[in-house]
Amino acid sequence: MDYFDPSIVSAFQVVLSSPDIWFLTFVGVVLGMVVGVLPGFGPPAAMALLFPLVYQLEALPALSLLAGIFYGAKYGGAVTSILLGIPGEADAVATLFEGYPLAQAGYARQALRLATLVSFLGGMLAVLGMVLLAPFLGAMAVYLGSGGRAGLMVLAFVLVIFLGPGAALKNTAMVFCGLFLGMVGLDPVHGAERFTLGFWQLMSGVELTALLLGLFGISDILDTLFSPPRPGAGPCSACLPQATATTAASATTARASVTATAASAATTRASVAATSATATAATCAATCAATCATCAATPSVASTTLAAVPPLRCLSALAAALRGTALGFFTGLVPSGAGMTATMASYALEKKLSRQPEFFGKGAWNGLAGPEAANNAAALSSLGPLLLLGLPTNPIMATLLGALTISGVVPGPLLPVQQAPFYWGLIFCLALGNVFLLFLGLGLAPLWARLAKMPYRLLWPVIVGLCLFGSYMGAGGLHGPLQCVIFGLCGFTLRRFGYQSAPLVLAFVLGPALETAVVQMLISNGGF
Amino acid sequence: MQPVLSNFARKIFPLCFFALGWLCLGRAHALGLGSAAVPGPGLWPLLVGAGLLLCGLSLGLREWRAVPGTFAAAAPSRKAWLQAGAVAVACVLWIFLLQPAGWVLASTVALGVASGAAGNGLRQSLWLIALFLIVLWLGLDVLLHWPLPRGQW
Repeated sequence: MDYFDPSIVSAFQVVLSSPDIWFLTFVGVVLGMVVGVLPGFGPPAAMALLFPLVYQLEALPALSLLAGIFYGAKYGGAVTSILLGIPGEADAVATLFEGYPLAQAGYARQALRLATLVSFLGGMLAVLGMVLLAPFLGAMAVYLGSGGRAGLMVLAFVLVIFLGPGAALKNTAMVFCGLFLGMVGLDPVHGAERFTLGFWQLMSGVELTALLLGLFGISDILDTLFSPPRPGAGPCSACLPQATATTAASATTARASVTATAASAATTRASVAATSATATAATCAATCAATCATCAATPSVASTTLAAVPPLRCLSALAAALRGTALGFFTGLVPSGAGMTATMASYALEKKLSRQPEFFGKGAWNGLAGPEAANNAAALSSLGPLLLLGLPTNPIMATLLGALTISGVVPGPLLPVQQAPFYWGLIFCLALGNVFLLFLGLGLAPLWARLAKMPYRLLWPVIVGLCLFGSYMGAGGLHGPLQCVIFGLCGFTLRRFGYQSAPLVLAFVLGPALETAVVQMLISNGGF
Repeated sequence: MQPVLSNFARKIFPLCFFALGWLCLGRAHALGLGSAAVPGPGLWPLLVGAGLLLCGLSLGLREWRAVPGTFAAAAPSRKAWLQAGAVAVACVLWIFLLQPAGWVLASTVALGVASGAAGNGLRQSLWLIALFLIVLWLGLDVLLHWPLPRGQW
């Protein structure tokens, strides 16, 4: 199989000469950074909102837009972690451990620059890794029959159940719920009608857009409303250093439902921060600014430290970034490995390897560089299993799989050969998006910090409206918003009792493919 | 949510999973299981139903064994309940008004309800609604030529 054929060059030329692709990649990265910074609105909901565009756009621009949201959000989460001590994304908790103390010590700008540079490095190396990985993963995957594919999907479920946040038994129940929802509509093998309750609207199955917007849009809003304090919503009672932990933990809980891990991690971090005598006053002020609308109007620690520009001294963290990239790249290939797993593993590794581990928690540059690089590398490498095996490793990848299917792109080992312009075009778009990320991150950091302080009361009515419109456009009728509201309420209730949405979404997307693979396996083997 | 209700609600979920599993098993039989070599459309519902049934049973056993009252759910404020109610009301209003009244009026009413419940003033709410409508009109109607319901008036 010749993977490195002239189509790579032609794909490169297509990307370079298409202003649409440049524009949509840019829009995707900007939107990703915005949703990464804003509280109560995560990348799955943002991707679901723009999902209907997949019907209108070509495959490559549509996927570039959606993928840009994903890795843009990864960086956006780091900005709020460093400047405000609030992880905009769950994956950015490890960044908060070192980034926030550095910002408090007057190195906010350097910390942001380092985070941007190592994110760029991690992202670009991960793209390069995907290029090199394609032939190996492809060669391995062509030997997979229907049984192998089914086994791989079951393995993905097992990993999500045991490695994902939440109790394993509850995650298992959610996987089966997702498989059940995936069954609704026409049977993919025999065409028999199942669980439609007589509604023609359910013949084509449950709407993916409505499910995503319900579970990650409406449900997130309800969860955030029930989880004080929020920016601009709560009273200014968080003037204790420990309040940083509460804010971080609640933000993390609402954003990505990694309650136990994130909360405990953030609490641990905050207790370390609280012991730092120099950071106490600054922590108090930043917490005020983040949680109280009145205090947000006054000059914050973040804005004052950004004004000071001490010399950049972050190159010593290059080795840490490379280690983080390697770790992130390989964990990103494993289902449920990207995100928290990669960043926390990188943080632990850096602490272990450090000659001065006592500085960790008080502003260690390596502790910032490693997890940030790991985060971006994991985000991009998680596209590998999706594109080359057709295996989404998290709900965001499940959304992308839906987009691929609608666009007529068949993910699998032969994708780099049979649909070379798309595959290599997407690889170039990912690299292009990383360059945008670098410039936007370096140039607009103060803007992102200001955006993070936007009161939530201004955001959530708009998000509700967008969810309703998004689900209406996705379904092409009122059954979309109706499903969205129902899933939103169910998702919120389930989440309050410790049931996570991620296994459900993954199972919902993979369910029909798994069913087909199982039936094919049985038919070809003549039984069990 | 009060702890008593939480303890009760915790036990509801396993029951729901169990009932869903039972429903799948019943439907699987109706669809036809086929044979191992030539599986029918009921095979997959059978497998999923069995999984749901087992999960319901296991979760049920675990929840029933749990000591009552140990689940410490923080009671949300009245404001949170009101805002959550406003989300639901806004959604229902939007769904009911979209076809007869058109997207502009439906969105204005829904966003007005939500924004009011969020604690925004009249001026802020009006700005928010205007911005939302303009962005949607420009993005969907003008740029993408996406047909938005205009209403029956």
